[in-house]
Parts: sequence; C-alpha cells; structure tokens
Amino acid sequence: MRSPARILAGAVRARRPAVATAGAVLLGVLLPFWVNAFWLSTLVYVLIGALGALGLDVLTGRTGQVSLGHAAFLSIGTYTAAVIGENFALPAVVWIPAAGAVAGIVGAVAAPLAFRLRGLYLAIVTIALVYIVQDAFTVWTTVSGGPGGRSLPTPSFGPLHFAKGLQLGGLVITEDGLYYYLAFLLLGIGMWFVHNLSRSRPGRAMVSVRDRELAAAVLGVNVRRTKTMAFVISSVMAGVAGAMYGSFLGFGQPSQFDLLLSIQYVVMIIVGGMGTLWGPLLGAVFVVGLPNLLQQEGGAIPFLAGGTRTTGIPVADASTVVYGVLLVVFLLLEPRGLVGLGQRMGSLVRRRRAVSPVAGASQFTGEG
Amino acid sequence: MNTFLTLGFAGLALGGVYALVALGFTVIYRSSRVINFAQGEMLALGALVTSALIADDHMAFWLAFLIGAAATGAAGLAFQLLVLRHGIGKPEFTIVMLTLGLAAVLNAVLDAAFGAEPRANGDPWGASVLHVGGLSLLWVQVWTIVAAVLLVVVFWLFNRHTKWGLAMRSAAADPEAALAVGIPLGRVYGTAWVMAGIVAAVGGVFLGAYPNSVTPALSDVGLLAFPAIILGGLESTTGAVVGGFVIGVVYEMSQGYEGTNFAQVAPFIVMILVLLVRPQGLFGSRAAERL
Amino acid sequence: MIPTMPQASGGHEGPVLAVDGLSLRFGAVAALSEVSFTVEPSELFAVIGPNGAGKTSLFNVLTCVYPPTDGRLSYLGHNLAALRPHHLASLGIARTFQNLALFPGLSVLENVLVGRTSRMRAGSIRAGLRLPSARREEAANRERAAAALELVGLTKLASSPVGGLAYGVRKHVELARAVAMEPTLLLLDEPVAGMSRNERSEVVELVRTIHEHLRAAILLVEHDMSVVMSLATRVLVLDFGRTIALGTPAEIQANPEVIRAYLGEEEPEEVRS
Repeated sequence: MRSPARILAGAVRARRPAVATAGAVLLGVLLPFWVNAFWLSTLVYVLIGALGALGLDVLTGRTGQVSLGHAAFLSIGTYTAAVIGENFALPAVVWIPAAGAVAGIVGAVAAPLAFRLRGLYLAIVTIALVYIVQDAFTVWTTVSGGPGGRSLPTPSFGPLHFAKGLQLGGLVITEDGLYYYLAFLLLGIGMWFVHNLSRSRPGRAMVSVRDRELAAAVLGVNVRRTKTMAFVISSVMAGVAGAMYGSFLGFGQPSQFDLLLSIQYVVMIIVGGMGTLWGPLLGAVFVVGLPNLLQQEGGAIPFLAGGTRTTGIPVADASTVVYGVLLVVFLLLEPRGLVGLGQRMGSLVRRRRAVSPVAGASQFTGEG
Repeated sequence: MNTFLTLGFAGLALGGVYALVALGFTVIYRSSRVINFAQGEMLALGALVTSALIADDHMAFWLAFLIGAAATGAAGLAFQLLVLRHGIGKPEFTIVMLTLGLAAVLNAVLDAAFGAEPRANGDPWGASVLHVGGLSLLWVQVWTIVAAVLLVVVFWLFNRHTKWGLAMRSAAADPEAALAVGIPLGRVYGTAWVMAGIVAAVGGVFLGAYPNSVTPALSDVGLLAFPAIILGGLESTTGAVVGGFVIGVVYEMSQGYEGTNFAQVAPFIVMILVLLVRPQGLFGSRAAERL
Repeated sequence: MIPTMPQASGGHEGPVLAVDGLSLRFGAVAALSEVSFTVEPSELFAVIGPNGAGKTSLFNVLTCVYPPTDGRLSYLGHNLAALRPHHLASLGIARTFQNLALFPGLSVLENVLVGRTSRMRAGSIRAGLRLPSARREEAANRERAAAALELVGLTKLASSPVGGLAYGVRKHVELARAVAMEPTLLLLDEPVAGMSRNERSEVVELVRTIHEHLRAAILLVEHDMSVVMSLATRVLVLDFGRTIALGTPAEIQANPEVIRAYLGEEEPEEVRS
C-alpha cells in the first residue's frame, strides 16, 4: 500500500513537466525586460534558430533521415516572405504562413529522395540540394535581388506595426521586443505540435522508421508517408524560421544559405540532443549565442577579434572551431546532447538520494 | 577549332585536378568506407601552406611543396588518429558529421590563418606557354595532366600489386575479418589519410596555379567534384578518375561556350537523378538489407 | 489491389493459409520442394525440422521476403506470392522476428502501440494539433495495447524503455505487439531460440495463452521438438526442403521417417518431454 505522502510526492513528480514548462514560459515572457538591447536581439535569433532546429530535429532526430539541406528550405522561406510581403505588399499574417507553406511543398517534393537513399548518399544528395537552390536563387534576381541581396518586410498585424514598437500603459516594447514575442509564440506553437506528435501514432511511426525501417513496414507503418510528413513538417518550420530570420535581419542574400548554415543546424540538434523536445532550443542557445558572446566579451580572450579588438581571429571562425569541437565531443561521448547530459546528472543526483539499493529497482515495480 | 582544342586542353587540366580530388576521396573510401567531406579543404590547406612558405619565407618551390604536402598529410593523419578512430562502430550519420565538421573547422582555420586575400601560387611554371601546332597551351596545364595521370597510375599499381593495397581493400570490405587475419587497421587507415593528404596537396597546388590564385575558396572544388565521384562510383577508382576528367572538360567547355551558371549545377542534378534510379551509383553494388 | 483489414477470420470459408506445391530454388539449390499444407482458422500449426531443413526459407516465403519459384500460396483467398512484406499488416498477418525488432527509441507500451498503426487513422495534422478525434482514437488504442501487455504480464513495465530489458522480457513485448495487431494469422519465427529452459516454458505458456485469447491461426516455425509437441494441433516436418510428415503431434512422434531425420540431432529423451 502506498502512503498518502508517497501518493502526493508521486502527483507532484507527475506534474513536474507541466510545472517546468509553465516556469519556462513565464521566464520567457519576462526575459526581454531584463536584458539589454544587444542580448535581446541575440535572443530573437536564438528563438528563430530554435524553430528551424526543431524542424530539422523532426526530420533527422526523430525520423532518422540525414539532411544537410536545411539551408535550402530556410532560403525558400526567406524569399517567399520577401516576395509576398514586399513585392505583393501583403501583410505578415499572409507571408509568414505562406513562407512555411511554400517551403513545405518543396519539402514534400524533395521527400522521395529519402525513399531509396539512406545515410551517406542521402547526405550527399541533400548537400547537392543546397548548392542547387543557392544557385537557383542567385540567378533568379527578381526574387532574390541577385548576389547583392534584397530587403525583407517588417511584420505588422493590423494597427500593430513592429517598426513602431508598442506601448501598453507604462510598458514600452521595442521593435526587437515584438519580434521576440512573435518568435516566442511561433516556437511555442512548434514545440507544442512536436510534443503532441511524440505521444501519438505519427510520432511513433517516425521513431520506428528511424530505429528499424523494415520492421516498421512489416508492422504496418507507411514508411513513405512517414518520411514525407517528416520532410514537410521540417521544411514548414524551416520556412517560417527563414521568413522570421530574413525579416528580423531586414536583409537576405543567397550566399547566407550555404552548406555551413546547414551544418550549423545539425550541430544545434546534436549539441542540444536529437529527438528531444528542448534539445533544439538548447542547441540554438549555444550555436547562435556563442558568436554573439564572443563578439561582446571576446576582448578578454587573446588573439580574438572580439570586444574592442579589431584584429585577430574573426569571431565567426573562432565560433566555427568551437562548434566543430563540441560536435565531435557530443557525437562521440554524449549522443543525446545537452538534454542527455542533464538526464545523466539528474539520475546521478537521484541515485545519491536513494535510501537503499532496492530503490533503483522501483522503475520495474512502478512504485515511487 | 582552335578554341575547341584550347578549351579542351584546359578542360583536361581542370579534369586532372578533379581526378586528383577523386583519387583522394577514393583512397580513403576504399580503405574505410568513409567519405572525407573535407578533401577540398585539404587541397586548400596544401596550396595555402605552400604558397605562404614561398611568399613569406622565400623558400624554393619544391621544398615549400614538400612541406605543404607533409603538413596536409599530417593534418589528415591527426584527424584520423584523434577523432575518426573513435567513431568506429558508430552509425553512418556520426561519421558523415565528423568529416563535415572537419570541413567546417578547417575552412574556418584556413580563413583565420591565411585570410581571403588571393595569393600567388609560387609554382615554377607561372604563365609560361607551350606552342604546339598553332596552339598556345599553358605549361602548368601540361604538368597538371602529367601529374594527375602519373599519380593515378601509381595508385592503381599500388592497389593491385602491393600487399598494402590489398590490405586496404580488405579493410574496407570487412574490417573485422581484416583484423582477424592480422591487418593493422589503424595503420591502414592512417596511411590512407596521409596519402589522401598528399594527393590533395598536389591537386591544390595545380588548382591554385595560373590563371587562378590561392585562397581558402579553393576548397569548393571538393564538393564540386562529388558528382564525378558518385557517378563514376565510390568503389571504382577508375570510374571516379574518369568521372573527374569528364567533369573538368564539361565545366571548361560550358564556361567557354555558354558562360552560364547552369554549368555548375547541372552535374549535381544529373547526380541526383542517377542516384534516384540507381541508389548505389553507376558502378557500385547494392548493399544487402537484413530484416 | 491490396485488401484492407479483414474482420477476424470472418467472411471467408476454408483455410486461412493454403500452400500448394511450394518450391524455392536458388540456382541449383532447392531450399523448398513441393511443400503443401493448409492452416485452418484457430489452428496452431507448427513447422519443424532439423537444421537446414528449409524452415527459414519457408518462413521467408510466407512473410513475402522471397517470392516462391513455384507453387501457390494463398491467404484467405488472396495470392500471397505476389505481395511484399509491407502488405502483411493491412491483411491481418502479424509476424515475429528472431532478433526481436523492437524499437529502442520507444517505451514498452509505445512499441506495442506501433502494432496498432494500421488500425489507427490519425495523421500528423490531427495528432499534432491534438484534435478530439485523434485524442479519442489514441486513448482507445492505448487501452487495447495495455490489454495486450496485461495478457503477457508486462503491465508494470509499460513506460520502461525497451533497451535495458532482458531478452526474455523483450520477447514478451514483441508477442504483446503481435497480439495488439489482432491478426488473423500469426507467424512465429523460432520463438524460443536462444532461451534458457525457464524462459522457454514461459514462452510456451504465453503462446498457449495467446492462442486461446486471439482465436487466430498461428503458424509456428521451430527447431525444438518438445515445444512443438506441447503446443501444436498439427505439425509439418521438413527435411532437405521436402515434406516428410504432416499430421498430429502423436502421429509425428510415431513416424519412423521423422525419427530418422532427427537421429544424431537430438537425444530420444527430448522427443518424450
């Protein structure tokens, strides 16, 4: 029989994810008021990157389809937003979803690549995709503005123009703050969606395709449909992220969407933890935050062209080297990324707290 | 007609570089089933070290090249020993990301160490021209083709007729069995990476020669060579090398005659289409699937 | 066209599985020669034989891994020979794997739920948006999966990851998954391979329980005579790809051909247990 105390403890522990999530949301809402303009702008990029990474994680982390093509889908989102928002002068409520939709359609078209190709060859083909799309946009100057690039629209929702900021009573929210909340909302929706997926039939189908594709097929999983949906979901998120990124930056040029960008997104999901809900956000904090951190505080590190120093190793290069090292470390030592690391520490703490060795067996008896 | 021949010859020279890139890929792939996505960066490394030694230290070309090749070989070996070796047995995705990571890191290191300013190659041929049958051909191009063909033949002989070559092929076919018969896998892999590094340095120096210059952007050739290698077949050195020469000629011809951007992208599209029809490449064999 | 989920054994008269003159040749090697048998509804049919007898080849043909070189293979009247493995689930055929084929990234219950995939409809949109129809379907199917887990006695392990579990336990999970598919025909591939005596008798009991519960036809390929004798309603004995006996366990045990085929392979005591 379980004592009342144990029942209560069990209830709190069961609610733990909800409590943690509520805490994270609260923190997220308040954060813009606590940080300076530089860090607020960084956070916006982090949230946008997290959304893109979340999409890639659905494709690669959860469904096991290697893709180095994420940059291509990001660019499709950026340029769709540019054309619909500026060339056609339609509002954000149109160009944001449109960016996702167009990228999603291209994702559906690209999905058959994964039907017959795996691992190495799929990686090669998705790399080729990045080159092809980058080249296509470079040549298609009416859409992309050519190698010199083009501008992107600023969102406005009815009377709310991002460029003008917002005043609510005594509260002033800057343009960057508005971008932050929009990105926060979009990321939240994305994470909610992915969370729902993970506890449902299509989510299980994705994992089964990742773990043992042939067995999944024998059990009745429609492997092709699963892969296609993974590509679509991934590219919709990439499209929206691309639109937000271009809009926040105010600018987009084809050279931004190169293989290195794709690699950075893969680094995000590996460092954060593939197949986990919070992994993409943690990874984005690292990969997007690091160069900015080095830029601000880099003066303290010798040879680095950061802070007030203008000569030395460019921040971008130094960051890339750091990612490379982190990538290797996580790939070889902690394949479940930061989330996995966190879980390991958590279970270490729990083991220390255990009263007796038998406590560890509780996971098999369902108690505690 | 003259244009055609001049372009054709230039194409063969570029093709020679691509063939060397392909050779570098296949040396590593044929011993360990790993695709070195950083092969292009290794080319750039070799070229940059060589040209920097010539320009900054006024070293003689051949000595500078020797050091450049050694440096590149050493870099490859270091990667294999420090990083890749620990990836044995891990899923394919991990290996792919490890070499892609190397490519990104090398790129950043080269950019930070050498900067993007174009440098002179420092090779002894410069822009000197050979007049033959009414055509003006660059000596550099001649030597590129000679070097490429020579190295390909040397590797072919090495592969077929030496114990080491056999060891490499066995290591790729079945590493466990190879270990069981006493083949020193570590040394086989290490040797493959050193050889790939040296071949990369040769390719880099020729690529950075007139009319090009040496910058970290030379690394692009690595991925541009992919279609050739995939179509020619990762398994077949001959196929990859032939593919390399073909790609070089096609690029030069289309640049010379059309000058459009499409030339760069067409090989990738062809590669994707071929892989969709034959997932194992044109000359590869199907991998068996276990239920 | 591929028919969708038939109702459990209903609507079709005659045997669930009808094999007629089945042959499988690889070049000059005949893995199977002229094998014929039927499996009636609710029957527990076993295929046994010494090593190399062709049991694995037969199983591979039945599960559409290899098309037969000759002969006919029909399931509820449908020509099975023309189909591929991914058609099996929607036909109501469930199979187990010798290497278990569980999904390490999913928990025990989730592994079982994958078996319900073809009986569920919710796609990514409905599931991702948590629409009520998707939620209802998920809850209903979780109940079925939980029931299957209860049948095999693994309810307490429902949320455990499959990774750390013992081989015998994982076998139970795989069987629960097959049960959750509510199949018309269940194909078991050497279910007690590599097990200790205790594990073996547990699995035998489990198969018996499943047979009583599912009322499906079960075809069991096995090497261990004693397992087969205690479970099967009818037995097919193969040797060198040919049928050497077909009948009830009692008939098989008394058959001199069968004894000769197993001579030198097993001790006579094993046949008796």
